[in-house]
Amino acid sequence: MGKRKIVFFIGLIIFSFLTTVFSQNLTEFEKKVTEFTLRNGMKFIIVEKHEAPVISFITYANVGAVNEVRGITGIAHIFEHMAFKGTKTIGTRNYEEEKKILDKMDELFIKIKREKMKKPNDPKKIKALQEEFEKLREKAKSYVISNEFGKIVEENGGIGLNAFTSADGTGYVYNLPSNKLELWMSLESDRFLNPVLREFYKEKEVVMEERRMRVESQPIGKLMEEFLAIAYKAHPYGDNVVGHMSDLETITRQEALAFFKKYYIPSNLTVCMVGDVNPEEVKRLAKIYFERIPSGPKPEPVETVEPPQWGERRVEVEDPSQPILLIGYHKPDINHPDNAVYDVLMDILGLGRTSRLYKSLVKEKKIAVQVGAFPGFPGNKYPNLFVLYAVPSIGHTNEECEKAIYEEIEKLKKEKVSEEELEKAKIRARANLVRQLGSNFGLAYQLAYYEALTGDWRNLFRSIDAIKKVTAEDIIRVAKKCFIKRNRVVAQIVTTSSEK
Amino acid sequence: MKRKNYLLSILIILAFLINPSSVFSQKSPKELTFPPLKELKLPKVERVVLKNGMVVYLVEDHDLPMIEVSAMIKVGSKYEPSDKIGLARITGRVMRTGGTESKTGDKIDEELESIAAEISTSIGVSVGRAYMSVLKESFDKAISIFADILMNPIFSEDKIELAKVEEKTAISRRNDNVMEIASREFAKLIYGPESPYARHPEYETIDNITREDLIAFHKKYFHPNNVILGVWGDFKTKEMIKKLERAFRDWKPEKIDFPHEPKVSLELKPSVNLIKKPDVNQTNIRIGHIGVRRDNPDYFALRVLTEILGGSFSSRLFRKVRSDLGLAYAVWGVFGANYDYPGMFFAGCSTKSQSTCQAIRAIINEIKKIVEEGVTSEELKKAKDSILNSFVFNFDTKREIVERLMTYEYYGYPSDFLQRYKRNIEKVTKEDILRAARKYIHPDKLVILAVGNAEDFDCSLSEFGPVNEIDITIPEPEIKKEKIPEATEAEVAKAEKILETSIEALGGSERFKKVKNIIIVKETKVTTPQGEFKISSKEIIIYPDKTRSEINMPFGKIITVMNGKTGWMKTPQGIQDLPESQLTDIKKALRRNTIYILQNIDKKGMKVQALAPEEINGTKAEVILVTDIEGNSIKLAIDPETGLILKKSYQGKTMTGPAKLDEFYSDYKEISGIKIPFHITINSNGKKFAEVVIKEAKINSQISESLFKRPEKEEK
Repeated sequence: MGKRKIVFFIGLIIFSFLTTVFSQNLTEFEKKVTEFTLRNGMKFIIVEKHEAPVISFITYANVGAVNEVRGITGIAHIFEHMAFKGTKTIGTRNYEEEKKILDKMDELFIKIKREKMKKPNDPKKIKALQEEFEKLREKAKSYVISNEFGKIVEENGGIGLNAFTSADGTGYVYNLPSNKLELWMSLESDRFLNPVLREFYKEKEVVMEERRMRVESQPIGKLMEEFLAIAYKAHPYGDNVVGHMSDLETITRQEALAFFKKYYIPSNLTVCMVGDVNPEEVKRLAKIYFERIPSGPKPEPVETVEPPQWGERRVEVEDPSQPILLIGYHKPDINHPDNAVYDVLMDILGLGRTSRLYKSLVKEKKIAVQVGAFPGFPGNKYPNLFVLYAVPSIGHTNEECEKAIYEEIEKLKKEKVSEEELEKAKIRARANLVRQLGSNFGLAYQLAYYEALTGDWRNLFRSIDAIKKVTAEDIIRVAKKCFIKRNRVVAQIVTTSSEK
Repeated sequence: MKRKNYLLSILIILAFLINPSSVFSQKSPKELTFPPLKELKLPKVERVVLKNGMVVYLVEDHDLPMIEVSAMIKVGSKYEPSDKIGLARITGRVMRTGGTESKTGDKIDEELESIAAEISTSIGVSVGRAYMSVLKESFDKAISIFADILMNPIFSEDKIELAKVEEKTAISRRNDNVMEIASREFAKLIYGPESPYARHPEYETIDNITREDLIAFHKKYFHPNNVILGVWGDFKTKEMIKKLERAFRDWKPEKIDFPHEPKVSLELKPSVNLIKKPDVNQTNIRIGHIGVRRDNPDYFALRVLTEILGGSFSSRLFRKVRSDLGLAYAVWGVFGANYDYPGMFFAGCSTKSQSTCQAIRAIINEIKKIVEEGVTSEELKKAKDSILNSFVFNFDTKREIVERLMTYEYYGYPSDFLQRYKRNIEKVTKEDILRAARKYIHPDKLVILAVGNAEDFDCSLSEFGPVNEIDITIPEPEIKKEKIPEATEAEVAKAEKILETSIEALGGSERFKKVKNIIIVKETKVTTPQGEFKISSKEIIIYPDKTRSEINMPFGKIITVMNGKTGWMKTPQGIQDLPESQLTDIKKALRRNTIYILQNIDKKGMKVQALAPEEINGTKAEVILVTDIEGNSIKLAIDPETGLILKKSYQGKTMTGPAKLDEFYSDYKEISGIKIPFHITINSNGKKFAEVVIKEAKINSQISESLFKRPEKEEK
């Protein structure tokens, strides 16, 4: 809860920042922005901010879990992990020798996999193969310089070295003192030109631990996974980003490399950097370092369309933890003309202490301690969910919260929201939209994200204008269309005794 | 000459086109050299003391038309009494939500939103904080609200109630997350469960907090001479000082009598601890002991050590536990150092149940290694480079710059502590690290905690020492904790008299003592938000210690039996033994049974006390508190005219957790000379929850003992 608040403040600061500095005037902001596209199709967006000698970098790959198919779920995220393992020159003592062993391991891994699939299988044979595999692994390890990529970044004063994978995209981030611009150029270009997926099979175990931590040992993780699973029967949004355990176990290094080759082509990558930079210098270096990455065919978008539901879908997670409620309604993607209406709906219903849900469930009825709404789950690129959630207060139930939420939703369908509320909602919507812009990093992320998803980073600012145009009639129209039972998905934690 | 150059450049361009990876221009990280970093333009920070004693730091920043204010108030949960844990936090929260002498909290929300401003307040362990962010043109309005909140909060009852609900909800959920359990319980193992640096609220301590407590707590600590304020943004310093003088002019300094600072024991108490959580497949591991304070001269060496041991991507623990062994996604290893009290040295990770012991061994091994062998020159260089090269990030926002100076002054550190830190980090040698490691890290005296599904562990934790199992059951609040004063003799005498009348009216002491058993058939209507549903059930009690209930559910019958010591349950799915927690609940319920109470009222250890009368459905009833030898208590409301019990209140459980339950009795009928209520309405936390109608009641029937025996096989 503490964290939410901080984010909210940052949002407000930035909102004010935006209204006065650049939201009212996109052209003002554009003066600080330089953009260019390399010949291989890779896009760069540079925002100059010279107050402190630091730079924030993000490389946003327009590929996420949504691009996976069954059998290799989790592969986008596995590749993200592998992008820290080095290149042909970083992280190795002798790449030529190392490569031979890595290839052998791949063959052996497939052999073991096939042997395991046999029914019945031969445990002795499997064990022998696994021992052989372990020997190879030990040998491969002797060539590895552990975490050299991270070490170089850190010893040069880099902070915030990290990456994230979502349903829609994958981002690689860190910050450096501004005299180290060329270091980023060198490291990041090599990273996506010559990635070597070393320590692949060990890193998969790390990813499995991540899955256990985020999903299997956390009530909210379990709930989210079930929620998505029933919301999508056709579209890949229904599979959790981290992937299914059996897929994580069986994915091969060659599959991960194939995924990389298909999706990490320069025209699918956007770089955004914010800070104390000289755009001309960036351009010069970008050409030298990144233009060497060969271009390739732009990957096709996901073709599967989620069909309309034939009725409400509900799911329960039985867990010895306290109740939590999630309600989702299917809604269109980020480029749909009604997208801004959903942003306003989120604000009126679920943002801050004066939102309708907070007032009703938390302040008045005292049946929940947290309640909110957010559109765009699990992503925004394709039609997604408008989500409402409630954390019931002690002694109160999901059922009470669900009923109270529907009451507020019905009101939205029947009564026009007041002009005052709409105004306030628009202000807050803007605050929320740019809540992540507080830091150089936040700004870099948002610009890259909008560029990748909508084709132009300026749409970040235009989306604020779109919100300004939303009317009370729009709200009723969209609420009536979207907030119907048949279009609904409900997931909840049902408390069970902790004894097994 | 010119032409030659021209040709050369064409050649270069051609080479570039044919072979884009032109080798002469790209450099590997090792080949790169960097220009010196641009000199930092440090902003001018002014420190002034207002007339009322408030210290203010100011930094002008004209980039954006924004002003931000941050306050540190010397207060903290470490000063709250141990029977009111949560007082500081609730005070911090309700200051902002509960309104002031001139405005309600809701009005403040609306006003701030209308000018897109935000104000927040909170109180942590060692510091209270307030923060404000506002557009320059709305500063005057916002600062007046900010000052009002600090100076004149009224702590309205409804917002206190809301904050208490939030606190209690957090308590009810605190065992839902493994990470939260581990960090909370580990702190208690290091500092001691009673330490203000580790303790946490319980239902009871929250219930103990009153509005008067909040008012008194605020009044004691919130004085201008106890506040350090930071202001940065688009203003002129001179004008800002005037504005602040004006905003806080009615706030007068006052001498504050601070309680003693809590002591932290540095004694090392190694132990191995287990918290069982059967519903997860990953173990959260913490290993460590007490650390040092930040003003310790060895802090700098320990800071570099942390970087090498577990504080970075290329640290030893990250490399070993994550990259090499693939045991964990999250790995930590930190030598913590707080400003005002010793921090914790701790390492840990989250690993699958089946590799718990392997991970513990690996971590302990790394701890041992660093103490025995120290660090290498290469590691030292990398760690120092990392800290020093990222030093510039200490200055990338004005907020950091101002709040750092405030923090140093708040905790009594020199204002140039950061510069000293830099100089001292530069000086750290391998020998310093080895000496500090040996002095402050004790691999043979570690506290180990594992939270997870012990049944699936790869070894018994006893490998590391005798295992102490920690019970994290959340203590339920009890009615007697409602701050009822010690019973006076008169109150006891009055209670005894009322009870005597009541027992007489209900059938007489002799008859009660002769009740051996009772069979009750009833129908219960339970109210839920989805509507009402009915359950029929039969209940048999053999006094003093056996019960059997048969509940008819739509999916079949559930039989629950408690036969004194053990118990079992039969459902359509099969038969199982009752877990300890459920047995305890059933035993407690039996002790709340009216006949049981009246049979045992004169037993040794039973205490009774008359409380203030209460009106129930128009009747002024006498209220008696009955407490048994184990401290379980209930309240009985008795009609003094008829002697009938109108209401019984107690702390019990419903499907959603602990609750205050009230049972209202009516429709008394006589069965074998004893009056029994045939209609019962049950409220949970003040809301109607169930209605019970008794269909049949029989006393002293022939009851077969076999009903209480656990069936060997499925009965058809």
